Amino acid sequence: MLLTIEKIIILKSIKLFSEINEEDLFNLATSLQEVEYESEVEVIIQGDLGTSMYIVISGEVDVQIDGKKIATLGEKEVFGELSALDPEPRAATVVTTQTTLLFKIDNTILYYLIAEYPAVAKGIIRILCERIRNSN
Amino acid sequence: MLLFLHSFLSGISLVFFETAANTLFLMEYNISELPYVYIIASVLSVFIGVLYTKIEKKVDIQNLLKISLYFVLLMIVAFFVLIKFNDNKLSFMGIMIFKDILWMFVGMEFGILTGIIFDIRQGKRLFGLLMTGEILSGILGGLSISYILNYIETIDLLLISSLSLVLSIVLLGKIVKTFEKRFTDVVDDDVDESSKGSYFGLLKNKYYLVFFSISLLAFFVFYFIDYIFYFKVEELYTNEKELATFFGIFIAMLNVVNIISSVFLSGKLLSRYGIGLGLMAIPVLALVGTSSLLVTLGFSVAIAFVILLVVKLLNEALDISILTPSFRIIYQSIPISQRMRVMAFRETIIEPIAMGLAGVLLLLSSMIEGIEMVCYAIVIFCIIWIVLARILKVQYVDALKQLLNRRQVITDETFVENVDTTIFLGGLKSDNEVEVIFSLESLVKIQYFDMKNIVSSLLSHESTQVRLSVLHIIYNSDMISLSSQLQRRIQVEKEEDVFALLLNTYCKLLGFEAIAVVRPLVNDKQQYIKESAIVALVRYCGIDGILIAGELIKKLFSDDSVTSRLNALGILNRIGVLGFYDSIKESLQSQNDELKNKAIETIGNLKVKGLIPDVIDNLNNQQFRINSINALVKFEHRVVNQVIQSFESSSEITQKTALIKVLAALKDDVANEFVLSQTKNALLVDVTYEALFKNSFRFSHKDEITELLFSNLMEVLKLYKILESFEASDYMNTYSVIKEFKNKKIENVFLILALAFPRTTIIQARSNYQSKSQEKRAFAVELLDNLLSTEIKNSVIPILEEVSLSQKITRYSKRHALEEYNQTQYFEEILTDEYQPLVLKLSLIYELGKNKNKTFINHFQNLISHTNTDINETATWALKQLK
Repeated sequence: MLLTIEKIIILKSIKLFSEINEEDLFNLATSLQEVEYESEVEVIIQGDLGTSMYIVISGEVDVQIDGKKIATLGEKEVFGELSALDPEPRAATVVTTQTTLLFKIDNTILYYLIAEYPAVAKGIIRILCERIRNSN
Repeated sequence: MLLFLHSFLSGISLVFFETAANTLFLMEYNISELPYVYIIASVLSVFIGVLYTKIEKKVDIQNLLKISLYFVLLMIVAFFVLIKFNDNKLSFMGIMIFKDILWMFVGMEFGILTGIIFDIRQGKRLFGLLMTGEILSGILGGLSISYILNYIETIDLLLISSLSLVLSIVLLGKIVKTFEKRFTDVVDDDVDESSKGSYFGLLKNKYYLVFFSISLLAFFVFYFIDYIFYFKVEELYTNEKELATFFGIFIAMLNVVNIISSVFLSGKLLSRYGIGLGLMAIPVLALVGTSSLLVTLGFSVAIAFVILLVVKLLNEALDISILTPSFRIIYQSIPISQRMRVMAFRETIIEPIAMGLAGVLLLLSSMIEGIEMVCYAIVIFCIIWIVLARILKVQYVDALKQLLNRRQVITDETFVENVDTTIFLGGLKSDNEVEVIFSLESLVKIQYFDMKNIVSSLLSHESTQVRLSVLHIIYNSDMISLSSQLQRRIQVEKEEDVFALLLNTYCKLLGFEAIAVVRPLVNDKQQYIKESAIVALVRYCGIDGILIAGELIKKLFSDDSVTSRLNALGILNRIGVLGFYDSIKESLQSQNDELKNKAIETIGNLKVKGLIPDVIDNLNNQQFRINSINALVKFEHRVVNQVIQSFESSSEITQKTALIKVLAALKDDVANEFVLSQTKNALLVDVTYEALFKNSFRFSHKDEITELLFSNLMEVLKLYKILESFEASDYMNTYSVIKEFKNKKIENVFLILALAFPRTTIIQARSNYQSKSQEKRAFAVELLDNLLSTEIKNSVIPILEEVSLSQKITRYSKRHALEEYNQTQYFEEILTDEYQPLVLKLSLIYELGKNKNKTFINHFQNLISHTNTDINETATWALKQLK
């Protein structure tokens, strides 16, 4: 288990949260869940309902749509944010390719962060834009 | 009556002054010197304008008005003495230069005076009547000049002018005394925030650019026609008395044309043909007139002069009666936040520039080709003006659309009432939904007689927004005869929002008689139909409706599914009627976050007092914090004491923070006082400023922020000193946290300033200061430098200025004794002081552990038994690292 301050330092190094003060990241650090998966584990499954987003802290995951790999995400990358923002069936399956540590953030926490910190809203919008651009 | 007489006497004074000025100038100078008058007048008007603004800031309004007229009187007397007893040639040029400036001063004086005495409605009603004083003075004064000149010389007209002005000043004194209360009621509002900022930024907006270009051309055309007019007058009249008589009659004719144009023509023309005609009337007239002049100049001097006279008269009259109202309409299409700036830019920059440029251009054109060249220039200006007017007309509609989206223009009654209904009736047929809604709302505003038929025909409009607007109108009226049409729409309407409003409107019109139609809808498969029906039954269908709806809500709550309960809470939220206490409480205790959040929202909306403690408890939980804060705020002042008590008994900083947010949002005196007391709490001070700022708290006196600013600035300096002596390499995160705190304290400077100075300006300064651009940061500091009082400025500016850390510290240390810090001493303070922020403690303990620094090992041993779990865990971890 990471210390709260370690979580804060990690969160601060992630682009999405880099503009939030560490004092404010404390709330997030104490609310998120730290989850560890072995290799080849499906973290989320395409079509399932989900309301959480994830941040890769260590390790690596593959993103697959209809069984086809479309991306690999490494440290400090984010996934699952679409379902967290708008609870709909997951658009892709995410599988770990090695032992992977993730931060899991529930949608209620994410909504709170968006409402309290414009920088988070900006960051989320930027991630969504990147996703749209990549899908085109 | 007093105002009418005041206006009449000022008018007489100006008519006599103008006649004397024109005549004396033309007798002494050649018309080719007129451009110099324009150039000098433009420079002088800018200079006097600046001087006026400075005086304006220093004296009260009563004295400002008097000073304006004293200045005019002084100038008239000065010119009388100079010309009568000295006969210096420059005085004849001077009197012509000052002619327009004196008009401007008298106009401003009268405008300010009526603006204070009347409100907007009275002003609208009486302004026309008062203006007749000036018009009457123009006609009577102008016609009497030829008679008066049988007994006196032209220069003596200035004596009459000054006597008339003296009487006008006496009346002003009486008016000020009579309406003394109105003057004392004029509050010295905050400087209009919109009027701040760079004027030249306005030129980036195409709409404003076209508008300013037309304004510039309008001035050019005016001065060029003026020039030709004086040119021809000078040619025709060589005798001083004849010249003065001619000007007297001309002024009288001008006022007659003015009155005819204003009373009989402008309103009708503008309302029938709209802004397009308003913008094009003068250029078209000037184009036709100048072309005719060019043709006739060669063969008939008399015909040419008549044409010129007509063009000059109509140009002056249309300028007042058509172009000025059109510009006023254009101003209304500009967002309120920008309007004052656009107006000020046009009057203080465009006008003098135009006058000066016109002088230069006239000088050049008269040098090249003489009067014909000036005519060709007018033709060119008019063609460009017409093209730009067409562009502006299109942009005007677009600007209106944008404004409409923000619902600003509708609030301006003067604008709506000045436009003919035919424009709005035409707008209803537009393909553009925004134009339809704008027209519809404008017709409501002017209380158009046939609204019933109009809304009836638009009920099935293809646009959702139009249908919503129509239903809003019916909802707020008593058009019961439309109920059968509404009933038919209920069968076909598919849009959720429109359907809800449709049912509400129908039930509001028919009351319990609507039950027969609405009751079956509560069993509809579609959730939105079911919900809308229940809401409408409770709100508008009396006891019967409430019983039916109550039964259904009860059924939804007793259902086990979360969705049904969420629906039930959703309905209760929309109804806003207190009830179902137990069911709400049960939902609040649910394990389902969504249901719990909905229950909190409902408690706020229905103001369920008994559940306030439960909501306060939920402030501790991040998932429910925002909804809990919002819910508590909805209780308004009723919750103040309970929140303060909870604050005092709470030991959780997160809960205290949330409670501060609630209290600040309540905008209650007791709550505000309590919140302000927390600015002394080191752990809550930042959130307190943020909450006060967010809720637009205002101090009644600017001095009240001095103490807050000072203590905050001391914090900034302390953090600067610490950062200066900090060895960042080993304690990077701690350094970064301290830097964040320092930045937060600097941010506080803006938040505190916004509690006393114009909020928008401070926000603008803050946003610029946070920018990465050095230029923008400098602009922010400059803005504050011009806004703040000297005392506050001296404290704030050095902190914000782009100077090195040591320079900052040096500047303050001259005035304030600053404590020296060393790192060890500061680390000790962080570890032992309970008022040091948690994150800072955690970061330092963590990095000390990481660096295996054993200096504070004793403190770590104490901290492992700390009540805060995070401190406890981090200290335990650090100790392990040290072993």
